[in-house]
Amino acid sequence: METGKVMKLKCNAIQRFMSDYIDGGLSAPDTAKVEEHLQLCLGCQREVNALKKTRDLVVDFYVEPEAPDSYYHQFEVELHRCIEKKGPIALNQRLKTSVLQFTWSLLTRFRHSLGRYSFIRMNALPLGVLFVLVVSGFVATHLLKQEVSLPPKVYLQEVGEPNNGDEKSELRHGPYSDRKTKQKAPGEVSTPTLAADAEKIGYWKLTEPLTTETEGHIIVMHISSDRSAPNDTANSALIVYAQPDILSRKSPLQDDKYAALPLELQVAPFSEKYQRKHRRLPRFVNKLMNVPSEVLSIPAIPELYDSSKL
Amino acid sequence: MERTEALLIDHLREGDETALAPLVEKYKRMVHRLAMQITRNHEDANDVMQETFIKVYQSIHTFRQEAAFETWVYRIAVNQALNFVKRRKRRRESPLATTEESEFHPDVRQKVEMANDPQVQAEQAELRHWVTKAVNSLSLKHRIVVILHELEGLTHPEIASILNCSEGTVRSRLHYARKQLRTLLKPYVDANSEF
Repeated sequence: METGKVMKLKCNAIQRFMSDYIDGGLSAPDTAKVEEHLQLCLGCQREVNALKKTRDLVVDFYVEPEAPDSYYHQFEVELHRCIEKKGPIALNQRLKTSVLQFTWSLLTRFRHSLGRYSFIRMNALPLGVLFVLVVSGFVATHLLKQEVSLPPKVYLQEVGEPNNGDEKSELRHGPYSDRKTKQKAPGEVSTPTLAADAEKIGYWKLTEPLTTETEGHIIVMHISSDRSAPNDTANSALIVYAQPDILSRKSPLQDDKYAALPLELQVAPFSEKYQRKHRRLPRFVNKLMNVPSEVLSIPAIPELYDSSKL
Repeated sequence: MERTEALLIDHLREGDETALAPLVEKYKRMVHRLAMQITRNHEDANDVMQETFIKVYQSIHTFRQEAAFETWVYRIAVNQALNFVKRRKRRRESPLATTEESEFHPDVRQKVEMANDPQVQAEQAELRHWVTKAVNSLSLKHRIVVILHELEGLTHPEIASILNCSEGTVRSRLHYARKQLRTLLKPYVDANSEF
């Protein structure tokens, strides 16, 4: 029965183990299996003997190239000369090598000194991990603090007549306000108490030039030249930014060419208010809510505006 | 005071060029042997040796202490030699005949004591010739495994690390190479005479 079991190991399977078997590199159970098979298989026995003999022939009779001592001496001289010649390598490479050598020298000294303190040596891994965590935590919090710097705020100031050449930066509040109703003298500047000024009719100017870093969003929509409210055929585009918390307390800002609506979280209540006040314009509000995301999104500062909130 | 290998490596890392000479002294024969066996060309072997030790000198900072320095040097030498063989193939140069090796190396190392009997001496010389020729006729990838395992005495994992392949590949190549050698040396393997 046992013989039959051994014979199940086919010669092909044994062949794979032969090389390792003659090197003594097989585990004890595998060696036993091979030996059991070899006792019963004359062909494999011959094969193993032949491979052993081949190995011995190579080990004993292969002529390993060896050079005379004079050759090696000459080689060492040449090598020394070659290394000296290759010495003045590129500056950046030399710098890199020097830094690496210095680092290694420090590490070596550290390693040697570590040998004196068995506690540190035995707990090197957890201590190292702790050190890395502390340092990375410190660096992360420090960097995050720096990153959370707020963009400059932009306020509205009441000024006189708008300058025709500066239409985009001068915005007048109230969708139907008439510029002839009330005008301030040129150069007259109001205080930035905008809530109080909201009901007045006048011209407003942003205190700072609008940039991509300005906080908040305004959607500015083209309106027709007769100053009527924007309609559903208006061409829309997101072109400027301003502080939304000021603008959302007001009616949409409007001048000859543009009506501006603040977006962001305040857009929903504002839109409702807008819709109630100006019932003629439900489609405009609907249109505002359906502005395509590619119009609303600004690639330069995508993190400032999340169109999915709409 | 004689420096240990680990100390020499540390000193070399720190930029102490004098630490290279003892390391060259220790490994030059091994590197030369390997270079000759792979390239089978004296000039290439000389270049391989030089490039190997220059690489050791320049890249010592990349050597990880976990690996044996000897294995690391082997790896560099094998890679350099393979590069030379590839370059030579590109240049379409034919490998030099084995006779040239013996011309260059008159004092070949002989592992077997020369017998006093002239007839036995002649048989052994013939055997050396055919065995060397048989090993040299193997393909490069099989020859390297035979050299590293049978002649340099490296283990399968060491060879796998040097050749950047799996241990299974090393075992398979060794087995195949032995079978090839067995076929090439059939008359001597089948002979009943004791060597």
